Amino acid sequence: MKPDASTGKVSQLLRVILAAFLAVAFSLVFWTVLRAPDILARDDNPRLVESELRIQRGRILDRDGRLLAQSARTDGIFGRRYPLPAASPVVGYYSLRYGTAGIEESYDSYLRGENGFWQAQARDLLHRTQMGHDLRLTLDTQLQTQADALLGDRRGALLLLQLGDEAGSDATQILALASHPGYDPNLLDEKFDQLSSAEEAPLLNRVTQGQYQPGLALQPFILAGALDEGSIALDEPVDHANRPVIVNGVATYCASSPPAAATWADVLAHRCPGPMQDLADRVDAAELSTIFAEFGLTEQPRLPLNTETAVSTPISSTALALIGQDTLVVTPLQVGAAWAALAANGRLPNLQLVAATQTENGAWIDEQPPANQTETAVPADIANSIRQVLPAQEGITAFSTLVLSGPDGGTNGWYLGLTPESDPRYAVVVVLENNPNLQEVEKIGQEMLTAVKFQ
Amino acid sequence: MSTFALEEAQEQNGRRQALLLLIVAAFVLVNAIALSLAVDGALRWRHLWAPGVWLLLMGAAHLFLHRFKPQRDPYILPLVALLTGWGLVLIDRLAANFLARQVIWLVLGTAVLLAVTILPHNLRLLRRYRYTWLTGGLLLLAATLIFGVNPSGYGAALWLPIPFIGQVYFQPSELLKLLLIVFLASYFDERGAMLAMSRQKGWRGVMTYLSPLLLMWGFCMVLLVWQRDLGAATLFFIVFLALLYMATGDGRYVLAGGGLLLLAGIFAYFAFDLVALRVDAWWNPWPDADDRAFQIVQSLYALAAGGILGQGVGQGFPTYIPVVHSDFVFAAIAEEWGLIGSLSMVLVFLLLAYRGMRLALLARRPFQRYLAAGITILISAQALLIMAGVTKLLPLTGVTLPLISYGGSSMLISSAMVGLLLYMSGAASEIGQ
Repeated sequence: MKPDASTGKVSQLLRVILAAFLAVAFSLVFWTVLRAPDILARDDNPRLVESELRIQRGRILDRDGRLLAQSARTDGIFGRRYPLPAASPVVGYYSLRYGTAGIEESYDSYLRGENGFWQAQARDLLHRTQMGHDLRLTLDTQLQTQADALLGDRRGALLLLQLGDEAGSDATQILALASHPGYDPNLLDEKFDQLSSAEEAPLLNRVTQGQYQPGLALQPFILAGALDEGSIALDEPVDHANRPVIVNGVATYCASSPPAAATWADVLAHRCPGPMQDLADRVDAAELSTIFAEFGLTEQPRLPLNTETAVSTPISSTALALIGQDTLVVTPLQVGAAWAALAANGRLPNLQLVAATQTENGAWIDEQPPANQTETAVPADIANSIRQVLPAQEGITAFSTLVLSGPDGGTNGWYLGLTPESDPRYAVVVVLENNPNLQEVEKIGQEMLTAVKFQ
Repeated sequence: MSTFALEEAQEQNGRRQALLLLIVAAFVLVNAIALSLAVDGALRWRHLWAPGVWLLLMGAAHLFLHRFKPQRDPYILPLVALLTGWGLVLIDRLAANFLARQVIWLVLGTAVLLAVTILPHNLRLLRRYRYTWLTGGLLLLAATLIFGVNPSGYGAALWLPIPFIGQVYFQPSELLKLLLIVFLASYFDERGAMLAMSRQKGWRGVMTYLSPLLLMWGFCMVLLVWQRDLGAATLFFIVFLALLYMATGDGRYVLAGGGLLLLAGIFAYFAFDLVALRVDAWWNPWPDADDRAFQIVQSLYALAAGGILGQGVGQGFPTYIPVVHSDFVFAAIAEEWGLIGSLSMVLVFLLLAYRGMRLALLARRPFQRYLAAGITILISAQALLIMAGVTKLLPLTGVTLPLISYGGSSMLISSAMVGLLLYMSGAASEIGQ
């Protein structure tokens, strides 16, 4: 059979087919290898969500190993469960739609079990479930539950600290941290829009992010600083201790009646605002700023939660700043840290919220709080003498005050408490918003300290 | 070749085919088991019965060919077995509710494949009645304009319901693919030499011989475009151009044809929303990733997620791609078997193309040469069009991956084509080489 013209063309067509398949092969390499990292990272890639749903996040436990958060598996995917919604100001939430908050946010990569490049490669290759690591917090479930119950329907914040422990650690551990109104992280996805737009801001952690006018809650720290500077002496006489101070048109007096021959110690014990303004003659704005800074009131506390620093605008009026009615606003966390410094011989506390982390093989490693032992607000004798001046009852040293919150704001109640009286181990700070009933604030603080004392 | 040498060659052929089939069987069964473990966490019959049926079919096909077609190409059946077996695992993975139907189509397809391999009379019937075959195919295709349905309830109505059997449909354009190749092969067999010589007489001379061809081809194209089956229309055009080039050896036909295809594409872009959508989605899919370009973008995600080694069968998320079991099977392969799997699939089609074109080279008669080349080009072009579409080399054309994707008509006709290749391979002289 004589070959026709087509014979020679078959090889050419085969080469064309080969070239076309080669082009497909190069395109495959391009998309599966070269462009893959960019593409996979796109937000609209549903595989991001799918792979996220298959990660078994680590558990979050309280100081005694009780569950605060865990991942439960249903139909091959994991959902996050929070057995103690009252712990949401600390634990936060984990949501595919709305991201993370609290410890869930700050320890996200740890809870997800991201151990590094090679471990991830091995896991992907072997198709193993990504397992996160557990965390143990310093929080106490019972105290947290009680703190939450004590705040009840009121709007406010509560912080309970343990100053050092039996083992001799100088870490200041957070035992309870409550913020009201709050939210149930189990229902976050359903209610997020409502929560995020609510006027009372339930998603705001009032302990770490709530910025309050401090008012006379600053008095112990200012007087400690002034004492340290030699600007005053506690036994120095003060004239007209109970004279009123007008703030926003409202006259404020001492919380209780001071003796006729009052001293600076009486001014503190009776929470008198009048003489504080006279201090402007002895403590200028620069010195006052230094005192605030030394007590950490103008710094961001080091804690694995979203925190707000005080707005450190310059002091516009020293007289107002001395009664906490100037530009400085503070969070309960900052006040709690300063309060703990007065209780702990003037040393600023090493705040601790995470007690221990778990390794891949299940062993627990104690978490060391960031060391700042060298930072001292005031000398120990100054701190102790201030503390001894404060009113004490039933083993609890306390300082409480009502604070006008700006020209249009209401009255906030502050309570700072310590127990035991002689060698404080626990400190509490309570703030109630728009609550002119000081006894209510004091009752919450006292009950909290009593609960921890008899635990 | 002596009788002894011939018998020895045939035995060697059989052993080679058996060995390759065993390797393929191991691959398919391991993947079926892996799928069962990945999806159900245990070995389940619902994942194993289809590969079991496939194994019996391929075993039977091997014995049949060994008995009745001892001089066939020993590589074609293992390649086809790999494609169909892999395809069953994929359909179980991607659209398990279609698995039983696909198995039935595979049984029928294998029967057709084997029946075709023992066709008598040197394919004379196909050659002699080329106009009748093609006209019949065109009538069937035209019938879809009146009686056509789409089994999925939406999209182009390209299927005809088969009477008396509920919920079973046939796609005439699939049959037309084969009939058109037969027609072209027969036509070029008869007129190819004259066509080549007529070039000396200029375009008028060429047109004398090309007119009937162009007329029939034009009918096909009009019907397909009318039907909006643009993938099939593109395939026909490519096969037509390739065979025309084989017959005439004149590259200008290819250039002119390519130009016409481009013009047709531009026209279609402005005339048909579907084409405009596909071209836009191909050019830059990302701005429209959630809407009109969703399918191609999901396909690219699947490719990227697969990486080099793949997610593993049953462990990726290819079902995010709409109609993944028919149009985007290749993306599912890339996601779950990775670059290694998808390149292997490319290689399988390339090897099939090589064996088919080799048959065309070895064919003793021009008709068989055109037929082998036409079938090979059609299968290769179809695979290339969908692979290039999935990897964003070309706009999507809506064709399926031959022998793998879900689709009964495609399976039957592709099996018949492979049967023809095997039939012709038995007649080729250098068996087993």
